[in-house]
Amino acid sequence: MGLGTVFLSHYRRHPGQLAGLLLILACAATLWSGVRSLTGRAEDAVAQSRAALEPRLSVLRADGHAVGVEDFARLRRAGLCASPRLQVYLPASEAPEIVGIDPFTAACLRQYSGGAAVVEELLAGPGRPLLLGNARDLARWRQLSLPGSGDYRLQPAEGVPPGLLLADIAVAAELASSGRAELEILLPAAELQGRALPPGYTTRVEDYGVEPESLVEAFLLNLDALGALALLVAALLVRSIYRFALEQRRRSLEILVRLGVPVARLRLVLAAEVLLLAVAGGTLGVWLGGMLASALAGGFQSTLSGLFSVDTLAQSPPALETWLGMVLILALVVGWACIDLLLLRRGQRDTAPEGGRRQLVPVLVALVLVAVSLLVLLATEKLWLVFLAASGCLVGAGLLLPALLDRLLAGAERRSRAAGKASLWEWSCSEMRALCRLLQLPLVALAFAIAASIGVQAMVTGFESTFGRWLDQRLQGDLYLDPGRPVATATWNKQLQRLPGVKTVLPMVRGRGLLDGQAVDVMAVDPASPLVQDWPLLAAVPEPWAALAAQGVMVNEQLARRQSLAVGDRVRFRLGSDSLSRQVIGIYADYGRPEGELLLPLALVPDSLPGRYTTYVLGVSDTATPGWQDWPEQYPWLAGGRLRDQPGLKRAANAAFARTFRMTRLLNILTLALAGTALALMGLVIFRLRQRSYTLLHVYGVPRRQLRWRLVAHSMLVTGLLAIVATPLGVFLSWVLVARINPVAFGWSLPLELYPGFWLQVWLASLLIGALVGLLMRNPVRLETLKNE
Amino acid sequence: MNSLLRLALLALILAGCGERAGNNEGGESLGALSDAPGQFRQALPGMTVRLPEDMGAHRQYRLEWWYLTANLQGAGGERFGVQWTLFRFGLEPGPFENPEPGWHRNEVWLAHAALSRPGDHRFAARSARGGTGQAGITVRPFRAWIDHWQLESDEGKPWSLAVDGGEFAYRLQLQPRLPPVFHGERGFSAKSAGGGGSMYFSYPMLAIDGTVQVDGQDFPVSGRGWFDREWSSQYLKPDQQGWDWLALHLEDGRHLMVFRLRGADPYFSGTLVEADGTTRNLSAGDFSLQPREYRDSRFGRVPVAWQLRVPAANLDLVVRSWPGDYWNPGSLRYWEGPVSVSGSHAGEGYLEMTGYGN
Repeated sequence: MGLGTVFLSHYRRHPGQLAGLLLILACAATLWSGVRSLTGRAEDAVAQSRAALEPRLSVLRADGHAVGVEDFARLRRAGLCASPRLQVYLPASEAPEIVGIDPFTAACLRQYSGGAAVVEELLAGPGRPLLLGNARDLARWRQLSLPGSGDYRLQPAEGVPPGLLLADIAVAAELASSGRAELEILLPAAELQGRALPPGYTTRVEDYGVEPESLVEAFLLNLDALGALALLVAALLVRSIYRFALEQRRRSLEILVRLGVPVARLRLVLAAEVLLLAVAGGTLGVWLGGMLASALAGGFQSTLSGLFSVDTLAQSPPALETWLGMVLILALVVGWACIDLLLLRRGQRDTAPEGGRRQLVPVLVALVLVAVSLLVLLATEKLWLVFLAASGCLVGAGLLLPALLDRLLAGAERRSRAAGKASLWEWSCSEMRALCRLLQLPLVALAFAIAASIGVQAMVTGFESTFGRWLDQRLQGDLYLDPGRPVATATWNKQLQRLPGVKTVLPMVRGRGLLDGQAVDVMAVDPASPLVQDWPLLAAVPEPWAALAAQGVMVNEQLARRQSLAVGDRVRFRLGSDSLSRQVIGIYADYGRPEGELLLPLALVPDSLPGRYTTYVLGVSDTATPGWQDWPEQYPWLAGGRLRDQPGLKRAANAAFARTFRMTRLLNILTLALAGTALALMGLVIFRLRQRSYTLLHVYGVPRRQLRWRLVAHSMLVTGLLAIVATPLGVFLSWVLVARINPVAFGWSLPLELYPGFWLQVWLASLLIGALVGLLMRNPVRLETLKNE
Repeated sequence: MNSLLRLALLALILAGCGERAGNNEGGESLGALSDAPGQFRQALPGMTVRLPEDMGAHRQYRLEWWYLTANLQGAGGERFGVQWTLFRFGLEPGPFENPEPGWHRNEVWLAHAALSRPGDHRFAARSARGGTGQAGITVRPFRAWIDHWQLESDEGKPWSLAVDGGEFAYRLQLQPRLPPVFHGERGFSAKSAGGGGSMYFSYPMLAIDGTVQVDGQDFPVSGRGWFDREWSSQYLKPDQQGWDWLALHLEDGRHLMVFRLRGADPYFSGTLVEADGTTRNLSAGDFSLQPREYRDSRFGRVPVAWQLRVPAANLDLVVRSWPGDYWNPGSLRYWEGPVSVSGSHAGEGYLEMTGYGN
């Protein structure tokens, strides 16, 4: 009979244990790989779509003529990293737009930098006409069967937004004769910081838009942290179950050793078992994680595309690396759990605890760990240290929690003894203390799951509401108009006011200024406009908009943090040739961009402001009337401008966040369920161990029914108490996420908000888990446990 | 012969198989140089060089380059090596139907710039489609450019080269001290015994001064350079694996260019330029070129010290690469680095090697 059979026989006798182990491993792998897969895909997608988001300039000729190939050459010869884009609109209905780029210079635009696949494709065949796009657009192109279109090689490609086909600019130029073509020469905005534009050219900002990738990154980083926490929870659970198995197997292993099996061989087989478990659990988990990610991908993608113009989220099966990584991580987790088994016979553990002193040491260690970690957390500005310190705090708190529960229950026990209350209550207290001791690890895991739920919920909800408010500010009004070129602000103001249905016009002038010798963005608005009155501000004097008109300036959060500015400080800055000094009267949130920004009254900004560019927000009587879409055709002076329906955008953004929120909640529930299931599994075994004490009480006359309810009450009290004790840990976790990790990683913080309503839900869930564990143990009284007495 | 390598690189990038080719050693990676000329015109024995026209582009040919290497010294004795190369790769044979500027796809330009110091090698590259004016060549006045990198000369004035590679830059004046030398048979330089070759001439001695900028520090420099012009549509035979090329300036005023094509049947050729500019062609029987020492570099073992003997010219030289790693990266990387010369004569120059490494 081989060792394998002996090992198998253990699990044959305890199938629940094997199932539990595999379940926990698979759940942990599912959560982790699912979250990683989603965030990984999202990171790729965000990277791909950056071009749409980066501040980009389109170069214009000062003489008003359209730019051409000679202008491109002139800009390149001036050393500017410019790249052309030729958009061709074919007259056929629903014809995909042809976008021609120059693969030799495309790397200047972030979208195509770093060896973008589409650029490689185009580079591979400048001699072969090639059109890249998604399958639908390529099929549409085939249907159109335009004259000569058969000469083009069509190739499906990822990362090309729907509705357009990407081609070499020479190919697009050939197609231009069959439709309307528009050439733009694009330049990253940062390019003009080092070099000047040659005379005869100006630029306009191609897209000021929200630049939210750092917001997305923050969000993904936090989700990853959640995934890591799930893994930590799983590690604790696996260890607890495995240690349990150790106790059950110690005897049989000892017998094997006595029968002559070398200890080294035993360890080897144990290690093989660990690896096998990890592979089985990991494989199942990675597969399930792929399914989880696919199930969530729809909502996730809508979120990203709604808010961040991320077009495609690549669907890819879990890679071999993911699987291998997962197995490795799980092997570590299980390996940690079975260290005791591997150290078999190395010193039989003394069974009798030495009492108070011995218990005090880990508590002291945990306290010191928490204190040091907290200090580091508050002092450091390094991201990895923040993560390390936060982990230190968590581990320390995890060590402290069972001790804390024990103290609480011991206090209750003492009080009941002193008050001479029913001795049954005293017994209950000591019974619950025993539970805390025996279920230490799964309880800590549950505490972490509870803390994670609370922390992540606060983070996501805070994100949602903050972003919502911020969108409210940015998308104030009904319509947004980008004139498509620099315009005379006041003249356009008047013209726009004459448009049918337009009630209010808010010009927003942007440009560049200098503060302490550093370039900053400048934005100017009309402080009297009703459209700005509701803008939320992080800090402000009373009547900020009146103060802005009179003598003030507002700064964004990034600038305030960078320059240590507070309301009331004076700042000196230059706008073109004007030098000004004004008082900071407000600080506003400005998520998504790293740049500092000054907000000024319109009247203060000179016409010569460098990079001056005006956009408008319009209040109209009714956006539902379709007329506004036709304005650029109807009014020649509006031609080339872009109009956007703000409430529609806002609705889409809010809906997208609602979906994200649902998804995060689902992940939370999964983590809690994982911890709950493990606790239930363990609880079953532990309660069976405690049956003796219940049975004794029954013998002494306590009715069986009452004992049964008492057991349920014990279980619920322990989990309920744990939930309450873990809540501050959750608050701490959300504080770390929004107030420490975000500022260190991205330069701005989100406000920390507490959601006691959600705490109640989590507490309720914990009580339910407790009740479940208690109820599973149908009858705590078994007279046969007394047999040996 | 100078940057055959470069051409291969470009061609391979364009063929979309750069990575695969980069892993191949030998013949296949040089496919672009050994492809049949097809519609392009081929360099053949009997063709001659005409100046200044041949400083311009040859659009009937597939591949050509303008290639400068220079050994420079700073005022404080610092040593610098400079390489600047412009390549033209024809996608279809010219002359082109539509010479107007536009978005064409008939040729591609590529430029490589490198700055070397002992133990330090920096590299930058640029590419452009032909036809836009972003890159190009004019003959009168001579001007070769891509973006803001430019080599130009006005009638009677020194040439000037301006390159800004981001982390390094140079502005140099170059004065040809000797007339151009035509390699091989009046400019037709054979690359194998069985045919295949290129039109090839060089300015063997350029007196150089100017400024090199690296890490934000400016160094006034002076020194000597070698400038190659070469064009063809099929350079190599399919069984040739790579080459070793040397261009040297000797202390006695002579200059020497030799190359060895490695293959089943190695092919040797060279040109010795006397101090007065007169030239002597060298063939396999006239000189020997043997690797003596190897160095473990980033991409594998490469020969870095060479024994070069030209008995009839009383030359017995040891050519040694500067310490360091002089690979120019890319899917088809090549070694392009400065060398010191000792032995019967002292001197300096450049070593180019292809087809080595992992």
